[in-house]
Amino acid sequence: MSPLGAAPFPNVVIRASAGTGKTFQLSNRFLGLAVRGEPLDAILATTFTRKAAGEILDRILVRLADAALDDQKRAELGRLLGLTDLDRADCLAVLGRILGHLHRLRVGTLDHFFIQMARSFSLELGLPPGWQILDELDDRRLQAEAVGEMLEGHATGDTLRLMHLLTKGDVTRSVSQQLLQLVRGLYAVHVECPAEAWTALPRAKSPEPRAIEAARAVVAAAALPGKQFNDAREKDLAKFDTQQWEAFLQNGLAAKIADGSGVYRSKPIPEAAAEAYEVLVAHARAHVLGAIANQTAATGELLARFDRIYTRRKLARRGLRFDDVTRRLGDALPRERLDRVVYRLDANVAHLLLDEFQDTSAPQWRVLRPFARRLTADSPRASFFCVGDTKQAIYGWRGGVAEIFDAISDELTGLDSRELVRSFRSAPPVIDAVNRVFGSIGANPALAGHADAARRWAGRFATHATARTDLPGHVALRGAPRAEQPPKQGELTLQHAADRALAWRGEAPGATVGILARTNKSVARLIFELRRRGVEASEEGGNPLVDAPAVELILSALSLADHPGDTAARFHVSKSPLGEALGLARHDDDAAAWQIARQIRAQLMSDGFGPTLYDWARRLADECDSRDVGRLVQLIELAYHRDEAPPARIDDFIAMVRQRKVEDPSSAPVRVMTVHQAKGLEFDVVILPELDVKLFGQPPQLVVDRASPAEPIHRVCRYVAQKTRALLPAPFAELFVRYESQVVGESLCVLYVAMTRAAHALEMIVAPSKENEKTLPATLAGVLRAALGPGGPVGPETTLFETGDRQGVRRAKAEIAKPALVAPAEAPPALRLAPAPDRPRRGLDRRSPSRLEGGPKVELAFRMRLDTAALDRGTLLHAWFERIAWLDDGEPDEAALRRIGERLGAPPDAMDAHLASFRAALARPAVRAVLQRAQYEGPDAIGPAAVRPGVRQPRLRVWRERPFAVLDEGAILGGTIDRLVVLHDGDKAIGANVLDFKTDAIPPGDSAALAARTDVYRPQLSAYRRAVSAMFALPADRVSARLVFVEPGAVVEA
Amino acid sequence: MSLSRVFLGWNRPALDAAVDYLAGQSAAPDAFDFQGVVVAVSAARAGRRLLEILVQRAHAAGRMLVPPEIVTVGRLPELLYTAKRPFAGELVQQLAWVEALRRADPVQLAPLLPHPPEPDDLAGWLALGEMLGRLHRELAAEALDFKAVVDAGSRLQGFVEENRWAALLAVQRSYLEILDQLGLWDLQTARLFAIRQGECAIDRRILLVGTVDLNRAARMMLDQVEERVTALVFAPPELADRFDDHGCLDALAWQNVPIAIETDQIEVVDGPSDQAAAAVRAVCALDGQYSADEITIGVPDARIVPHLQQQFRQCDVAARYGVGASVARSAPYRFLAAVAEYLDQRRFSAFAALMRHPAVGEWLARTAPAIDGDWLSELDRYHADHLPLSVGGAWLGSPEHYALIRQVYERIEALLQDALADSHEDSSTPRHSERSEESGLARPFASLGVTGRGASAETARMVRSLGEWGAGIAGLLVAVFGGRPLDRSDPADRSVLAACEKIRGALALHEHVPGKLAPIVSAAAAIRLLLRALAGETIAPPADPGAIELLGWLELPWDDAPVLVVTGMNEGIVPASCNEDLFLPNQLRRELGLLDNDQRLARDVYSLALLAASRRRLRVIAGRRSPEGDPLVPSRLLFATDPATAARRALAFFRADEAAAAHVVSRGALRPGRARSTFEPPRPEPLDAPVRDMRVTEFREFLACPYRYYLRRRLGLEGLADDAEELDGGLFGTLAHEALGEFGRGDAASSTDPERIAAALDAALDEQVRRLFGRRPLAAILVQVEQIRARLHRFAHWQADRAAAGWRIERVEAGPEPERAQLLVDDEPMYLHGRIDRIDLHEATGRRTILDYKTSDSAQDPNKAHRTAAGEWIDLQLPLYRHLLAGMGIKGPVELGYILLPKDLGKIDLALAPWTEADLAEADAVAEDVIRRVRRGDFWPPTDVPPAFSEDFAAICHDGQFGDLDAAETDSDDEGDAP
Ligand code: SF4
Repeated sequence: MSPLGAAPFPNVVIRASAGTGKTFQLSNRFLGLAVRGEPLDAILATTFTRKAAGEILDRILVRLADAALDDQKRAELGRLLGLTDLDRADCLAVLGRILGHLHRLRVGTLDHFFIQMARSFSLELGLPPGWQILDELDDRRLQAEAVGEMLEGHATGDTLRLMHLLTKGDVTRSVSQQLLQLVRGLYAVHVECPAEAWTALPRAKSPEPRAIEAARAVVAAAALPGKQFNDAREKDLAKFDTQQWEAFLQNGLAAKIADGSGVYRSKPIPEAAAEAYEVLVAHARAHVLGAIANQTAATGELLARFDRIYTRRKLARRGLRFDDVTRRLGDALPRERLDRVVYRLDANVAHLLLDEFQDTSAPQWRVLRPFARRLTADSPRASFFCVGDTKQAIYGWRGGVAEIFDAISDELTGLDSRELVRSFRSAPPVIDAVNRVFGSIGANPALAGHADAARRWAGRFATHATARTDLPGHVALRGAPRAEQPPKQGELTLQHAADRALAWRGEAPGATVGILARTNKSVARLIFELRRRGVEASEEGGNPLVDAPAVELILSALSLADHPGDTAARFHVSKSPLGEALGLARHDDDAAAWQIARQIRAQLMSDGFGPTLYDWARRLADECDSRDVGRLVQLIELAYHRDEAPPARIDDFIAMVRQRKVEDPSSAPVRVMTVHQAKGLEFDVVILPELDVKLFGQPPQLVVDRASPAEPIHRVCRYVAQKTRALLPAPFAELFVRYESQVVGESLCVLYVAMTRAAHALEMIVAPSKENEKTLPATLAGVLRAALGPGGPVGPETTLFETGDRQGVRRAKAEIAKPALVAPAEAPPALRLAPAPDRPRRGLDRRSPSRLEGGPKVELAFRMRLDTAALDRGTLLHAWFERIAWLDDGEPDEAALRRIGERLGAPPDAMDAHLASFRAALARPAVRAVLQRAQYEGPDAIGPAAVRPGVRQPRLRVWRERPFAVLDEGAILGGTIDRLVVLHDGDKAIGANVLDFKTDAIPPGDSAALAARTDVYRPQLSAYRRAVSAMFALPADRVSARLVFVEPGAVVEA
Repeated sequence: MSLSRVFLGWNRPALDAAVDYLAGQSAAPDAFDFQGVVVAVSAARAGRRLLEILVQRAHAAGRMLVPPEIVTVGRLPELLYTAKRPFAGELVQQLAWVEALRRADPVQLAPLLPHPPEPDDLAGWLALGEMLGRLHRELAAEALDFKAVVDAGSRLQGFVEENRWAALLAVQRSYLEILDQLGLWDLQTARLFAIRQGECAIDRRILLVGTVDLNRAARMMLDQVEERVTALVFAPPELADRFDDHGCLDALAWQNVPIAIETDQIEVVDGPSDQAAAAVRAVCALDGQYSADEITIGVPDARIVPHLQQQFRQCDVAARYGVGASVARSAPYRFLAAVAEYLDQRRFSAFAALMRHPAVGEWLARTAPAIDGDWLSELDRYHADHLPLSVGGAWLGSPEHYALIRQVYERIEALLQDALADSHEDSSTPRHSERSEESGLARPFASLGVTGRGASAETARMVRSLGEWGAGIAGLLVAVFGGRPLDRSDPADRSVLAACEKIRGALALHEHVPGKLAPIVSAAAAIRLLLRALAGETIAPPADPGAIELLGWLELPWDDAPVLVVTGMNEGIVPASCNEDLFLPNQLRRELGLLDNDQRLARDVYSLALLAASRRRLRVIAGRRSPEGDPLVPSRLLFATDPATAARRALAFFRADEAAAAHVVSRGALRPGRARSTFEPPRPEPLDAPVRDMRVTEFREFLACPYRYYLRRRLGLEGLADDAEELDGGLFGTLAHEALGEFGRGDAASSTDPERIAAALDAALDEQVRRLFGRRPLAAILVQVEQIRARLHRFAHWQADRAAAGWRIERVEAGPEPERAQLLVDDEPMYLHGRIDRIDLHEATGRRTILDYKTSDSAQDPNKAHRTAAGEWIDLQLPLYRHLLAGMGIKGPVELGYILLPKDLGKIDLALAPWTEADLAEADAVAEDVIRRVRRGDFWPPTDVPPAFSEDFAAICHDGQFGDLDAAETDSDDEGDAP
């Protein structure tokens, strides 16, 4: 490959705005490296979602294949890769090389790469062999169990103390749910926090009690100027006495002392009083800070307790979460030499290609950093390439730290930085709107309270352009209708959005429509509203299957099986076609419900969920439309899947169905999702209905701080309301400012991502202004109104801003581009097979005579005998009997017998006893006789009577352990016969005798026991007879069979 | 020079050719006599099929068959030598590895195992033992020990693991020593010994059928008997140079070989069910030319199997997966798993799960004295009322509520006791008692016996040597499943039987663990060890000559069906590759001559080439998405063609749209019956009897949703579950109400001393807790009780002030006699009933206050609770209390209000309703309207968005279509007001 030139691969950071072709850049880099002959397994390209990873690889291969097959595309690729002489043979060769190394390509998710590393370092990371990533639902269950164990494992008083601290004094009803929610919400913080971080908040020292008492007396007695002062003092002291510390510090004279001004109602507080007040304020402050510190520390303590139990349970299950893997690697890698990593992964990493870099979390970067450092230092033999967009950093809450992106240039040397702003996705009006909103974001009046965030965001934004000047586009900002009752406004806005989607469906049926909301709850509501309007809509990422009534019905039947007393489930089932099928006519029929429940449980146990549910679904299909059937099919699929490892309880299955999201396979033209889910997607028309949310919404439980973006958290503080923050030491107070700024910045990122999903049309819906609105709300709606709107309040159903060519969009998307994927009316193909042959040809049943003992009915007790010593002895005796052809020729010699015994593992100390019992058996006349020729020769010869006449001296042939396999009633009957004697007349077999040795311990003379055992063995012997008669073409009556009970020394015809 | 190779070509199925060859070898004229022949095949099913064909051939030809001994190649070596010692079984080996690890010097071990498991973590140690065992086996199969790796490493560039392998080597030596001391051998050692001693011999002929990847140990052994060995190779003689002297593949020769498959034989689809659908389509496309037994579906990726079974079932075609279902799915296995859970701590949840095992129900109903009533519902209700943590302590509540489950419990305990505690005495196997004191494992693992507190908790506490539990466990199964003879022809019985036999086999292995290695464990731990060993086992399905066979990839070359559809042709599956390894990365594998990526590729290229050449119809299917949602790429093998074709295929397979278009799912036989679903909540039916009385609390529910009201109050429907982990709003409220009621009736009711009131409340609360939840409630409940106590204490202060202000508690939990309170609507009375939490009388003024305690977390004053912001009535409870009073003969003006007891202690206070007479009259009018509608049976339609009380009816009302719209925690407190 070298002739193509070894152009160096610069280490670059690409800031790629939305729609500017991140994947394209990444695939260029990969192709460039591949074409220049870099070892493919030295190129590590990662991104965040599995889907994106799949797309990158697809993109690489398709572009290369295209280039190989199409001259024009090859020229283009050559140009992009800086290789003007790229020829067809080169392309085919490179493609061939990639296709031949599909197993060595490292194009995948970051998580996947980490797992690969962790697998080869399991022992070093303290992981159990064979660990797996936990399924999300299993993980949730483990968490719940861990909380349960945590509660059981601690004294009530201890838990109470924690609870009170955590709930800031409230005595809530729920305990385990509350704790569970808490640990789920905060676990991610915990794992990044060393223990010290939880106690980083310093406590203030309170003055001496005597000093406080004295100060209180001074304050109470102090002469103050005027009634207002006196009243305020009274209130202050009341609060102080009732220990309402925060209220004390926030009002009256105390507040003025606390904030250092010392001036109340424009009059200075007299010095003596002020001094005494200082003491009280110090005391109150110490209390408040102490409470915050205690609450924070309690949270840390709780999480640490939880983590110990949770981690133990995870390891016992051999299950880990992705972030566990990342963290353990991050902790271990500094200790491990990279060459060891490289060795176990079997390949060097020479080129690192990172996608969506803004979403990299601090722990992830800690794992990647050693690689990045090494590669940047090793240029040009190695290279580093990363692409991302801090404007799209919307995963801060999940640990993505966009700041790493900004900081990366400081961490690594010799990085080129590039910025891409030309969109290949959006029409000019969309890009114009984006520019109008974000170009002026620093001065947006709705962000007046968040100036710092606005400024920082403005710094990241460069004016966008578009390559798609040919696309018709349209952008509108509209007011929704006004709701009668204020709390219903959100709902009404969503309904309006559904109306707008309906309108777009009518106007531009060929367009894909994406409605992007902020919360899952709104997504569900939108889906409901759309369906109500007859618009098929699908939810990105899917919904639990219970959105289909037919599925609910089946779950009710399952509930009934687990809880026959669940009358709601009974009613549901009894009023449906399933009621009839299962035999439940009335919901109040207790006896029927009990029987049905048992029956269903038994069926689930023997057949599994899949076949059972399929049975039921069949009964329901008649009532279903195609969507319902689709959901049923998915339910059945889930059921078959679950059958592989059946849950302990039916309830567990039900819970799984209720929780697991399953994408509706009918990919409807209207798709609803959260903005987060929309990342990486694009739609012809985008509708944004949930813009009236606060830029700084729900306060979090904790606020955290890091020394630098990639470092672990070093400060934690529970969230503190604005008013109280002044009491915190400066670094902690700043923490809150930074935190708010970060959240607001992220809100703006959400808006940016949302707007830039649109190719043609963007429709943004905001609520009409409240009647008393005075200033712009600090919401995304406010930001948009300020940037695009005419100013002033928003009236209901008004258009605030409109630009572009709506007709053009309509025309461009008038045709339905692709036929709907699922054609429900289409009958499934009929499956016709040729009729089965008369005689089965394969898959014949296997029967072995020894398995036929006792006939078709089996006594389990007999089968489960654990008397292994007896079985071993049986094997041994059989092996010894096998040594005997005819006793007439002498008994087998001792040494040979011992060798056999040793081989079979007979304990040496038991050998003598066994030998003795073998010899004793041989000494028994009946046993002895069957092993002698005389039995078949003399006048008293045994054997089939029919053999005797006519043949004076039959030739005897004896087989020991004779294998056989014959066709018998459509099955293969096979096995070995202990001893088979065939009587020949010349070459012709004329009769045969089967002998089967049995070592059952039957007391001599116990004829009843003998008869009983004989009955048990009879089917086995008759099978031998059938086999022998088939083998030698002998009539049935020419074959006899005998049981040789060696223990009592009895031989029985069977 | 070496064994003989015979090239049989590959233009027809290999087994056909093999049978012909065999037939030609049989000397006897009238018989196929293979008495002295051993046939070694590379896969188990190939052996069975070979015999099947032989038997049918013999039968058709009317010849006698003396079958050859057919073995899989893995078992062949043991025919070639006589082992000097008994073999150590899998479990014994694992335990020996564990022992070796534990004996090792921790410092020396550190490079290998820096974080050893906790000393009592038997499962953790065994997992390590298993891992080392596997490593040892893989190397030994190539006649290598760990020393060989150290040597090979020194030749390898970038080898940085000397210390680790040195540690491994030490452990391996110790392992072998341990076995040696026990007088045992592992299989690998025995083979290597035989090779070294040149002991291999056999007096029969060996025929290797398609064994193209023999390991080195096997080859060395065969070399010692080479004159007796013939390798049948299924490839044209022209390709002889792609095979080595043993008839095995020459990996390098197969690296870049084109495979004769046309592009139109390949289909790339999206997910696993699409693969199944594509397979169904491929069978459809045969258009009835082939019968089921001429069709095989290849499933290299076993995860596709359920999808195939499902879709073929939907077409009413049987598809048989010969590997079968995991033993873990069988009833006996799951029974034992449930027993182990239960034995652990006798948790209520474990008991509830065990009781739901169908076999338990059957056993109870069958074994005299039979218990056959709905004990499950009793169990559920018992749980709902008492939230017990475990079973076996004192029973709570009134005996008629637990009579049945108590019986059941005692029976279960007796069963376990009989089987596990007593069985021991009978089985007097001497070797267990000589368990030596110095045993490495015995001591530390003893702590695995977890204590319980059931009646026969000794069973749980009891620890024994592993093997000593066997008889008890077997006895347990016999007791529960063996009550009647099992019928082999019944599928369920068959599975029970098969599972029990596997269990028996595993138990026998437990018994064989030498005393020095056997861990000392509790019954639960013994069962778990047993289940662990069985988890990978499967139960083959019954034979079904009319089924389409599903076969794994390794079996496919040795199948003879003319039609083959291979699914799962994805990279990583065919071929599998090793891209990272704990011990043996690919580089090292290559260096050591272990199975590496090249060899894997070679084997799979050969297999696919063989299939392509020998089948009449072949179709190959690949997916783009795994069942877990990971992206997949088609197998490299599908690009084994000329470069231009490969490019065209790449374009077709990797273009995203293409994959999406293939997303059309064949829906099998499930077909929608209509264009729009007809599911809707069942319409209300006329009531059996006219409604004559109503509770005052019902009205709120009717106003929220008449239909759900109908379900709840008129039909009396309720959900029943046993998953609560703490008190819900209802129980929490009940507990507080009971305590408050008790206080109100007692002497302290009139006290003005907060301490005294608090003490009375404490006593009442503790009494209720004991009554409802016993002496050892769930920890969460204990905390909740303290939360209630905190609220009650704050209430005590309020109450003291109230009493000081002249208010006396006149009555608590008071209500009218039946049919004394009424609302006259349309000249007909509607009797009202309900209990008023408390009536206060002011001694001085004679004023009365009617009060209700509210214990929900948030404090909602009466007006907010009863009316919307717009003034609509949504609850009528307090206004209707006036009518209850009238029915109780209490006259005169009253005030209505709540005593709020929310989570915010600062808000614990009285909240009076501000309503005027006109407001109350309006409320009455609303009530009358409700009554009229109830009388008319006007309960339709349900409201869209479900109200808080209706979780139980979510399924009936199709609430699911709202997604998690109503996921908000319900915080209702209908305390003491259950339907
Ligand atoms: S709140 Fe405190 S003072 Fe009041 S009753 Fe309870 S313990 Fe006594």
